[in-house]
Amino acid sequence: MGLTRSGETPDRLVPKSRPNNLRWASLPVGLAAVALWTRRGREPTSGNDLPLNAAPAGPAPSRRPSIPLVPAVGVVLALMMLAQAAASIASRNGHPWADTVYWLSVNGMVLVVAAVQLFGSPKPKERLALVIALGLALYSVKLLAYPIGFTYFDELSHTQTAFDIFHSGHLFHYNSLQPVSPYYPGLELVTVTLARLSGLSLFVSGAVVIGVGRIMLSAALYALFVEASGSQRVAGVAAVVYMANPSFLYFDGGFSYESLALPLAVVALAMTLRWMRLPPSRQSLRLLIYTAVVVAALVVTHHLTSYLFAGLAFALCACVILAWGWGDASRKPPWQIAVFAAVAATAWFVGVASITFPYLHDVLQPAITGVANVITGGESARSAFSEAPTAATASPFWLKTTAFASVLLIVACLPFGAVLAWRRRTNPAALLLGAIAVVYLPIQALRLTGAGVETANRSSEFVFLGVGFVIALFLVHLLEHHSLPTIELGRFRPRLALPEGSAAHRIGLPVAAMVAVAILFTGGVTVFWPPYARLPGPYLVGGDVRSVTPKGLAAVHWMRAHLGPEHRVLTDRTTGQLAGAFGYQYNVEGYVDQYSVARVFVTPTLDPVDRKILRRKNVEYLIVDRRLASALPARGWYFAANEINENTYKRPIALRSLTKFTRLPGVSVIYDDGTIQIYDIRGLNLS
Amino acid sequence: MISRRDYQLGALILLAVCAAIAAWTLADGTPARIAAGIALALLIPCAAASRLPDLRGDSATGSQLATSAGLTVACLVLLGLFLTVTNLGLTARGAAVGALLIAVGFTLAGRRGTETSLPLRWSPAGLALTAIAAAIAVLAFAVARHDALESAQRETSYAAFVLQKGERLELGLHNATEHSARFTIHFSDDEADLRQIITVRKNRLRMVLAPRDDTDRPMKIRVTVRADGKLRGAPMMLSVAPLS
Repeated sequence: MGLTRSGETPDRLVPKSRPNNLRWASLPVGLAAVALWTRRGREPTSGNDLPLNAAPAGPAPSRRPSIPLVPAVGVVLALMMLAQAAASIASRNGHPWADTVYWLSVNGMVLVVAAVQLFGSPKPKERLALVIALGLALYSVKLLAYPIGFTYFDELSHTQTAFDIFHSGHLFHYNSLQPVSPYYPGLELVTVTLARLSGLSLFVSGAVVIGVGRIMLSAALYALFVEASGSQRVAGVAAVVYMANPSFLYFDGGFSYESLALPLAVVALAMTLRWMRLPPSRQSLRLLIYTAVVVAALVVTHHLTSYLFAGLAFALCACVILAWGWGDASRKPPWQIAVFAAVAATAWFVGVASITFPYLHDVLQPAITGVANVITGGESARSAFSEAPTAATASPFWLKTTAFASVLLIVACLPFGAVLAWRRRTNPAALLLGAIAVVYLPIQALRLTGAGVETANRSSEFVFLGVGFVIALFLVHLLEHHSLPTIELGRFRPRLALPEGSAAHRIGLPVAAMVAVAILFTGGVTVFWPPYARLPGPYLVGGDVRSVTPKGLAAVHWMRAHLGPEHRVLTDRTTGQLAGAFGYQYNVEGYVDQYSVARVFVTPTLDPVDRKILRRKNVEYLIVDRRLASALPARGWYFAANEINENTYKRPIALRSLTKFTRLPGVSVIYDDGTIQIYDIRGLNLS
Repeated sequence: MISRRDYQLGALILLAVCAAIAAWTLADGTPARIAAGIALALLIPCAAASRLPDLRGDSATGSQLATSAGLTVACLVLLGLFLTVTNLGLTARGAAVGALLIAVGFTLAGRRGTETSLPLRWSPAGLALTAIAAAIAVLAFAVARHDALESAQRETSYAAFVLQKGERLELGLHNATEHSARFTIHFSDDEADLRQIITVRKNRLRMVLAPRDDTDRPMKIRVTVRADGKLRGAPMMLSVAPLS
């Protein structure tokens, strides 16, 4: 029941029978493959057949023994991972030093790679390997905190879609947690395919797929920045700065469709840039087809990312035309790719996923309207870090200061980096990334409204493509030339040059660069991710990831096993996610007339309005977590963002209100583990 | 004479076939099945795609790795889409055949490409440091996972539930701890009050028949748990509404 004996959530059912007679065929076939691979064969003669990494002609240079760079940095990153594991364990067990170790180790990962990229002289492949290693190390932070199952809000939504595909083998089952998810099943399709082939659980398969996506993203970012800057050093630094974007550490590592769509989009962008350089030929046609395949997968994976990619492809066309005007006609505009992306995204939207429009409208319209209201004075601006109703869930002063400092740092560096990007404007990639960086400022205006914060945070993974690029240009310029790039603003020409050999030059600049990277990274994490969600810990009321506990999982697994699937269940936000994702239940939410369904749990007695809600929503079971009565909710609400009190709870919900159903005739309490109760209200008179 | 490139082509195809057979026939949870599945779905197609001459480019820029991995994932998405929207369904066999076709397709498309080689030069010191880094990383995950599982085990200690099956009322008692526990059950309705003590061994679920003479009366069930002589957790309160 619920958890397995080992405590791990069982999240799949597997067929028992396997064809046995073919099993032994795999061994000789595998041995034959190894034999063929190691056979030397005739050496190729044409230049195109030369093996990769062929040694240049001439006498072999003398090599002094040295510590291999990438493996050595790998050991350091692995030690930081071990420290992260210690921080997670300490946090789960209530030790106060967990946070300190967390920040030290996660910054250690970033700073060691940043230092090598900025100050070292690694070979190009070593720079690439370090970027990939950092991407994976940062991904491990999320896995080490929650290593036995998916816990994020969005992860649970996509888990339900993955389960549906796994068990039925087909698509487009209704998902009560996120109705649009089944219509963009790219992530779930790869995960289920891997689970079918490897026999791994959906959790492990999903974690592997996101890890592969992380490798793709890291390599594609590096390729993109090399293409834009022509410098391996700038590319390495830009990739590290990109990883400081607010959504990279946690959100982009979660099992959510955007986490696979973003790598696909950046890969498609890198392929597009490469295609632009090729003269018309059969090779160009083949690369175009490969790009179209990646774009087609992107369209099926995430809505906004595919629309943004189409937009970026059209923007590249404009950049190429501008470059022609500036005298560089070495590239061709990617009209075919842009049109294909736009047509494919539109066709999928119209033919399959028309549900996307109301979904995006509900997300984007309040954000845009909110900003307009703030500008016109119709609404007061939101205060930063205002979503923390309790002291325990608020960021400490030093983190808030760092978050502000990171934004100011970006704003301060942007003009200089944009100037350096402008000097490369005949390169369409550099021009495009510079333009994206400029968008950073107006995007921050969304943070003035409560509805716009989420949009601003989620947009950072795209905007930082430009921000990372221009900041890297600026940092590298500063370190190589020891002076600011020249900006001419009429008669005003700010200059700053450090004397050669001075302490400021030898020590100050490198230290300042490292401090800047640390501020960018720490501030980025603080801006998006709440403090209680970074590390595991005891149950936190209304704390999303911290409200996902084994008791909740056990209760929903019990429901599935003993009551069956697809019952209509009313419960709090996180338990509803669990019931939908793992219990296969239908999570009731929304309104009846102007009343939120959450009203049922808050009123002291079951009045006629509550009965109307239960009747109209056909609720069969209630799941009550009595811990809701122990504290105010971390995010300000227990059930949904617009529930009856709208972030104005002064006291926790009364336990008597939560458990009033036990006193009602016709109601059975069918499950109790001392914390969570499940009520069968099918016998309740709701008239 | 057959070139080394052609031997590698043959080896890739044979590896893919081997992995497909293993992924289809071996039992779940075995290391060989896991390795075969990951190889068939990801590693072999990626290696084959990296041989495509059109993607080769400059391996130092990351373009080759990114695009070969991107193509592999993209093909898996489209394969899954094809299987799920047709009557084939995303089954193990369909996935194995499809992944095999992807791997073989990439391999044959790259037959005019170069050999595949490891991206970095390896030295004994490099191999040793890489092994150390891998071992530390595995240790980190093992330690984190062990603590998470233990914590989960501690939290889901005891539970009680009732299931009405016609006129029968079944009471379930679950002990998820590593020690035996004694469940004391009080059954009470308007007329009678009964007490029953049930011992449930570690990591066991025990079902008992609840005494219910009259299904027209509501019944309350109070369950308390003792282990090692001490009361454990809050009382668990169940109730059953009348059947009529």
